[in-house]
Amino acid sequence: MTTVTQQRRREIERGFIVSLGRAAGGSIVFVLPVLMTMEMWTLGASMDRWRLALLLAAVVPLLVGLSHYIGFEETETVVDDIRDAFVAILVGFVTSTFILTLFGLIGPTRSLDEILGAIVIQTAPASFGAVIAQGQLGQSDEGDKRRNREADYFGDLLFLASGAVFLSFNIAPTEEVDLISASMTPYHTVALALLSIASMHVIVYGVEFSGQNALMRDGRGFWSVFLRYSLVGYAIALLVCAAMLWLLGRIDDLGPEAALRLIVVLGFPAAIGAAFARLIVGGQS
Amino acid sequence: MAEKPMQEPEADEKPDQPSREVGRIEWIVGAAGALITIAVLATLIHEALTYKEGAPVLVSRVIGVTPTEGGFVVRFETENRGPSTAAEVVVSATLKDGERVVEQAEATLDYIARQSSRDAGIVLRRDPASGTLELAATSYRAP
Repeated sequence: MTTVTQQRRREIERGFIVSLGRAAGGSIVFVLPVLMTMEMWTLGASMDRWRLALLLAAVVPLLVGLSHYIGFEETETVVDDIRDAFVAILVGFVTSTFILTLFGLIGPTRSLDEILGAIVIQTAPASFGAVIAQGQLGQSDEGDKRRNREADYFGDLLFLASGAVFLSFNIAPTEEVDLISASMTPYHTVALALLSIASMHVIVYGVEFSGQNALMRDGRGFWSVFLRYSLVGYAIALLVCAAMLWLLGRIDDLGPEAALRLIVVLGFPAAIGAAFARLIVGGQS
Repeated sequence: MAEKPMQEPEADEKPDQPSREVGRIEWIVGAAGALITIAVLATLIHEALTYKEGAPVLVSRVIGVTPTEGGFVVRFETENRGPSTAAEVVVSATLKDGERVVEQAEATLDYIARQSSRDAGIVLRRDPASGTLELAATSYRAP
């Protein structure tokens, strides 16, 4: 083996370790609000084990998809994306375990049940942050930058969903959502839903895409954006909220109307997050 | 996934960018991540399969008594041996001298997960050694 290839191999390893550090930083940034929310610690222990397993299982394909478009390492093939997703999960797992231990929230007096639950719940947003770190903190690589800019419709929808998860994940378990939805009349709910769609459209059309994707140049006009992004985006945001509230067991005891009201309330931050997805998730490009 | 990145003509643009090669550490970390994911999923599914409905079993025991200027601090531990989690567990302590209740105190524990325990304390004005101290959980709420 020549010294040149050895040196290059060292460079590769060093580059990966740097990006691991970046990923850890990103995961801390994203997970701190969730880590410091009381409901999150207790939820891990009381949550239905099937749903907890489902949460972890659902995170994997989402990370693979995100890694395809952004990711903290250069990715070329699906295998790369899958490996990246698992690296992100490891980073998220280690970060949340470390911080939960520092906070004294997990320790030997707690049962495995409780410890594992708390860690798994935190791992979801933490691994998310690990992947997103590249978009926000690091320089995107060439391939990702182009793919990010050229992200097809499916990629855009994935970004929307990620943004929705990002902004609503730490709100979903709180009691405030219940209180807000309980104090709202049906008129309030309708108004909030309309406001969510309207603000989504304003952000998507005005701030996001016209500056970056030049939708108008493509001949996609106001109504096209409204249909293809704002309405679909709001639907995705609501679906994300419904899935999250169900996973966390928040709508089990509610009737359909009360559950829908809860989803619409959480859908407001989710819609805003979805609309800003490109700034939050998609990086600076 | 809509498009496979393999199909992109990436290689022509930057033929020898070193970071595109994957180091050994990255494979190891990725494999470790996959292993943890599978292990955690297996544990969760095992727990889900063996889970039984049931009432929380709340057992309290005194860890120690410390005489302080503010009174006798009785530290205790409440353990939940049952299969379900209890929130807002109220533990009441009764100091009895024979049949006579000398002093009573109450402590509320936010949350005791199944198979877990929590520490708490009560403060009594009299020395608990002067009589018999009874500790018992009196109520809880489903989380």
